[in-house]
Amino acid sequence: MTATVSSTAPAAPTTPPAAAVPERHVPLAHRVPRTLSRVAWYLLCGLLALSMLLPLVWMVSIALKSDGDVNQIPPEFFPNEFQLANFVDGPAEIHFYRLLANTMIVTVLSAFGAVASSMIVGYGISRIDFPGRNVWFALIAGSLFVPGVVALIPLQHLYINLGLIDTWVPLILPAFFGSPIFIFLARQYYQSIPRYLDESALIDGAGHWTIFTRIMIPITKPVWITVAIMSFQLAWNDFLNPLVYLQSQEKFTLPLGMASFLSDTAGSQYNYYMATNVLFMLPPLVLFFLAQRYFMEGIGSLGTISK
Amino acid sequence: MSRKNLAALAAVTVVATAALTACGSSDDGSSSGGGAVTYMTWETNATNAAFDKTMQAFSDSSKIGVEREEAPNADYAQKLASLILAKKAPDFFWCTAAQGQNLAAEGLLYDWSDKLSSGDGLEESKFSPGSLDLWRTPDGELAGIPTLANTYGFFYNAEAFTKAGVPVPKIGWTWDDLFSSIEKLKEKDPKSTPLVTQWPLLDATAGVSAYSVAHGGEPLVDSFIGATSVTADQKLREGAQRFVDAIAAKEMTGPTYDATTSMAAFSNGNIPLLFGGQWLNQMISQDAPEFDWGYAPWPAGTESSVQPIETNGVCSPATIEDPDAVWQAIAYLETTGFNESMKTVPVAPIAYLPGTEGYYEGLRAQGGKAAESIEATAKYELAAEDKFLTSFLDPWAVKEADVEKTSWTPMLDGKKSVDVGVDETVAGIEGLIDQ
Repeated sequence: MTATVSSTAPAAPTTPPAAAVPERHVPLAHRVPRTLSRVAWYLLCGLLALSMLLPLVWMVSIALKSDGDVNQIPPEFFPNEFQLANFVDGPAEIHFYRLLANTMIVTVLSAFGAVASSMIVGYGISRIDFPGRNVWFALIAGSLFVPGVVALIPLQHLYINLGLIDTWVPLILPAFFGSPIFIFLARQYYQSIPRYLDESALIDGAGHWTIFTRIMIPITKPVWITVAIMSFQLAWNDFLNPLVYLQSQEKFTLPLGMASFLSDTAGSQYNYYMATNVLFMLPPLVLFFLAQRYFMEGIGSLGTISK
Repeated sequence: MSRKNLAALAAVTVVATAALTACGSSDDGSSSGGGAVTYMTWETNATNAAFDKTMQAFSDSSKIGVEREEAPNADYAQKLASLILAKKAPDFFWCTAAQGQNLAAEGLLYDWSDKLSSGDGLEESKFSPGSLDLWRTPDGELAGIPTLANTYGFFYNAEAFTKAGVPVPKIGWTWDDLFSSIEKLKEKDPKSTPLVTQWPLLDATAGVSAYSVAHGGEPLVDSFIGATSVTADQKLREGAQRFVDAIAAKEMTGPTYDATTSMAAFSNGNIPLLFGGQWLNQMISQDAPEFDWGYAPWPAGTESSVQPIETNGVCSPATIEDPDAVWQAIAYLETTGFNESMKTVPVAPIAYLPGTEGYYEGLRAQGGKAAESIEATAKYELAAEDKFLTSFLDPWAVKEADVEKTSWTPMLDGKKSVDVGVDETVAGIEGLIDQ
């Protein structure tokens, strides 16, 4: 018995006219082979990682070079002789560990001041209704556009008249008066917190201080950690203020101490400078990695919608 | 507030109080030395270490305490301005002649003229010719005591010159020799720029003014201190034209050239002729070039050999509490301190001639033909009778930089004709003098 094709069987499909069928969008992932896509992605990531790491590696390379190697033209990537002693001699030349302790004290106190003042002011202009609240916020936000260096001379006169030159006070005190960018950051985060939390607490008899310390501080952890990291970094890297306000070497901070390796006219000790810089950058780096998750959350809060 | 939080707050308060109060300053306006004579330099760590050693010896013998205050070289001017503003400047500090004149004009500096003329510790006649004149104010005060006397000249790669069949620069060489040398070096290696200017003087107004005088012309201004008139004669224009032509032909670098790596490039044999100050020896010799090199002075003209004079010095605030002790420290520095420190780190010859032998000893210890040529050039320039100042010293000198930037530099870059550039510069300086 031979099979016969039923007359009722559907006819073989024929290609309809192109104009009659709407063109379907094919995702890029389907058009490009998966392997190629992966390779391109990793190449891009590798390139970006390289661009980030190269300056760091170059810095370590200079830190390991001898005086003669540093000035080779064209420069050589790898040192001809590895001078690990640069990591000892360079720091010793500027009393690195004493300056490190100074920098740590100034930075920690500045970061504490920045966090405390910014979180309190941010709370005030975000959660407390008072006349002129928006004007205050506008003033604070507007001052973001005023370069800090504008205030240098008036502030210097102030500190001179107060007899505070050659102390750490001018380096630390401003942090306790709030920073526009940190207040803005805090305010934005507070705005994303539902109002019913405050209202419930108020009904339970809590005042603003209790609400701030018991409710807001725990739930704003990402933003105050972000402020802490950013203010830590600002104070840690500050060169101009220590240059202007400090006189005694025993009070110097590290950026000021390390500057003695650089010279406009008499030749710079780049190997010592880079060796101390490698050590100098470690504390903020460690801090950032430890608090990276909160930092990302805090920065992300800038895009939240006000409620 | 929980006990834990209270403890944390207490700890922060204790640290803050300790930090803010334990390091408080006295508010009596005095320096931080606590009775010691304080001083500040712009030198490198190595040179400062040499100063520390010799000043300690002075301190031990005189029983006058001496303390050096740190200041980063790259931001020395900013540091000094801050200290002067806060009335916290050290008892004596490194300053340029221009800084000295400006600060003295504002009444901020101690007048050392009586001390110097008394002959106590230092003798006027033993300063190199002309060096004290830079520190005399129009009112007859002495704004500071000259110390490090910079020389300017040409570091040359002798092998590159020999290879190109060009005579190696030496004492007595002329401007014509300079321009013909770089022309021939360019012919030999058309891709190179034979002359690199590391320091902005050679083709600046002061440098071209020196060219004019060396060829029988007039200087640009009648006096570098208290100038009253500005002249741009044919010789000055001729000098400017030669520089413009050399820059256009890429025989030398222009005024906007970034010379940051030029010392390293010279040390690596990439530059046959490098213009700069004698202090570059510190960097070049450290790199140990693998070729014969040396240092030649500023060229002579057809009429005379006019050599640069630039003495930095030490200045003291008008408010120093113990001028006698400060003077003793300065006198020691000039007579002994520089001899000791420059022997270790030969940075510059000293304007007070009995204090300069240490510099030459330091060069001899470095050894080689290069060090010999640096010593010979330094002695030649310091002894020269005809000299020109490397910068204007009047209070308007700061603004003169703007005149150079808007009129002189575009001329050198070929964006303005020589006549237009020179005339605008003259008019600009005249305007500053009139103000």
